Amino acid sequence: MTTDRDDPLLTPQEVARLQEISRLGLAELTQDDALQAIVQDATRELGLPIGLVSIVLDESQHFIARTGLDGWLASANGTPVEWAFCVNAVRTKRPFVVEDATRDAAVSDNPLVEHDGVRCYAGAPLLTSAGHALGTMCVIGSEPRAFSDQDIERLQVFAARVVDHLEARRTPSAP
Amino acid sequence: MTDRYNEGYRLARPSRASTVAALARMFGAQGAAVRWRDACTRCDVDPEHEALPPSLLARVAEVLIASGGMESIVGRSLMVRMLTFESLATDEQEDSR
Repeated sequence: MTTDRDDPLLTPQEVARLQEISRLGLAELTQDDALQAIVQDATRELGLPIGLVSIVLDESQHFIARTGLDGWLASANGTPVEWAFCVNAVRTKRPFVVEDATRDAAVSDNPLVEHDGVRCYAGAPLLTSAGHALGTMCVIGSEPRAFSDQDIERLQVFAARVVDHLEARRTPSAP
Repeated sequence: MTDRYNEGYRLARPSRASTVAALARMFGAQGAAVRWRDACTRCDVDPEHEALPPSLLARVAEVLIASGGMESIVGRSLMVRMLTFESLATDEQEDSR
């Protein structure tokens, strides 16, 4: 994805990633019970209040499943892409972890940290069978917190469940 | 905060210009112009109107989302950014009371 909104055109790689998102119908998707259940399992298992399945679009991140949000985040059901922690996991195709957001130079000046109390974050990329990163399965907390290797492995398992569901829901069923 | 820029969050209100620019990054300038005009026509919005109020821009966003394909991505981003700006503006008004 590009967070440089002054680029005249998207890169071919980013176009391919967004085309996969559009093929899966994810910009139109706003409610899915199976994804909701995965998010709730993830927050319960990792012991954090907020869980999201976030799809990183061109200029926003769009939450296709969520738990624990309130205020403007719940109203918008997403954020401008320039505030999205998830971009880091999408760009690298690896988990992105923030244990104390106020001390992490990558995110300490993010409005979500400055104004909305985000203090810890762990996101596992949603990697499709074609190799594109759609967004993340992520968990968020309002207190600093360390994440173990096992925590991240579990998050990656939840991310894989999300992708399996997204790819299956677009596969035509056998006659 | 002005009615077009939220200084605390460093966020500008989405506009016709920013939406056409987003379409241009996806489809090039000509493709953007065609898609903007088409989306506006489908929801009875004047495509030449420079200062679209949020209510009309939201209509265009809904049409883009419903179009599917890459247009839906631009439409959803527009909707998220609009809802973010408007929700923050509402919160600030309530906080100042």
